[in-house]
Amino acid sequence: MSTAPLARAAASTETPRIAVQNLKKSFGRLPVLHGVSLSAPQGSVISLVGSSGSGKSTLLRCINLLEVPDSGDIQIDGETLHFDPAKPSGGVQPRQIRRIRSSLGMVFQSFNLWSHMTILENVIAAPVHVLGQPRSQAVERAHDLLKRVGIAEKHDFFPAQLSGGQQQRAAIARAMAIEPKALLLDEPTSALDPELVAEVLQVIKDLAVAGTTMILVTHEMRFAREVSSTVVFLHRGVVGEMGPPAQIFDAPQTEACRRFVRSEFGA
Amino acid sequence: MTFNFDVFWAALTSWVFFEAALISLALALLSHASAIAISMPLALGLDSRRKAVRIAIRLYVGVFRAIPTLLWLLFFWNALPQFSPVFRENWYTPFIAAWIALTVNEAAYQVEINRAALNSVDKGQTSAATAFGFTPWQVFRLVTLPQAARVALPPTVNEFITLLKATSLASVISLQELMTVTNQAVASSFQFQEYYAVAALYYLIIVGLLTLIQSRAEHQFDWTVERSARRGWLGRAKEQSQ
Repeated sequence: MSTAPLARAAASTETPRIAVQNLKKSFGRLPVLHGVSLSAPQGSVISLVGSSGSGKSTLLRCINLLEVPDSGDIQIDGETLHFDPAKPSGGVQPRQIRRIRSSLGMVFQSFNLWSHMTILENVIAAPVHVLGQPRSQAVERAHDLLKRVGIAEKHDFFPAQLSGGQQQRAAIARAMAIEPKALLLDEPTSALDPELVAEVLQVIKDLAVAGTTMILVTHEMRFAREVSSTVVFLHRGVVGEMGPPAQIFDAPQTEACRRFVRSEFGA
Repeated sequence: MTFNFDVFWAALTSWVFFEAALISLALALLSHASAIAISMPLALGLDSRRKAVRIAIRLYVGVFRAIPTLLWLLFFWNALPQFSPVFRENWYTPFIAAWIALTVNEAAYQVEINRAALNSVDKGQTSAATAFGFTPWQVFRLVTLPQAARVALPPTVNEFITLLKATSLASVISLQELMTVTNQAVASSFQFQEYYAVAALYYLIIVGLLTLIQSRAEHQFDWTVERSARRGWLGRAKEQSQ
């Protein structure tokens, strides 16, 4: 297995596509994120790993603002959102939240394709209704994207008629249709039958090679190692360790990370 | 006493009966449409965070379901004008009174149907729309509503059939609907069989047509069949796209 990450190494002088500073989030009295900071330069692939309950999915949902952080800063392509714990919704306007959301492509564990729309309608929905693109232009781009993820002939089918792997590939096409500044993937292969995992990972790998900035929550350690430029090990709501895959998987610095890697690779 | 087919046929094809059937149908359609319009915010309100809102809606549903439709019809036609002279003017016809009575009554039933349908929509469906930057109204209109409509359709058609038959109660407030006209024809001729058969046939035809429309609509809502293979509303297969 190659240890060289497929994604381009980050040039540190550029404005990062996504930067998170000292992000905190609790659900009621249960703290989930205790001050997380990370940065995703353009073209980077960041994998979030860690045991369940470490806050990986919450972090991803906070970046997309599906969860409103209690405090901290999120910077998307230079636009900074500061969350003030004293104000409702952190003091961020709904309009700004929607603009940020429409610039990030989200891929869910359980696909969440809209079941009453055909695959094509799913892919054009956000470009047409949120970005205000003309329908014909959105349709044209949707066909290209569906071809790219290998399900061009399924455009007129409903999600329920597709296999899980095909649905997730359609969901990735839907997320790419808004020409996102970054793609956020929340355990994209966890709900799939084992034989369907590879086809979805291949699509994600192709996007990484093409330079798509991605933040990925995953349990597929071998894949994370192969595709990531940076691996972030989350442990009890903080960044336990962060670095290139070779460091995290071969020479972890902390005991918690060492134990996690050992349990994941079963050696 | 034998069935006089000529009387039956003359009544069936008469303008009086046809018009009465139209009045029944129009009353049912209008009442149900306005009941659905009222019940939608009520259904959303049942899951409101404000306790007072939930209690108020529960109270409405409880009161309107407990009291017979017949009593509501009599109340809105006979008692309401005593409250205000507005309802003693010419515009307040039996049709308007029946429309109001059936609407407030039906809305109470439709609330639970709508609520169950709205709650049946998977959370992942709405959060996906939210994640792509849809406004709350877009989420509702483009995702929640069409998915809830599919769930609500069969029980709603059931309600409509019940409501259509309930319009016959409006004969007590002298609305010239199907049962009123039938009773008037019977009263002057005593030809019960013939006129009852006409009324029965009209109800059968209306409900039959409705059932046909329902099955077509359910077919449109079938999201497991490829769109190009689905049939159009007129029953012809649509042309294959591309």
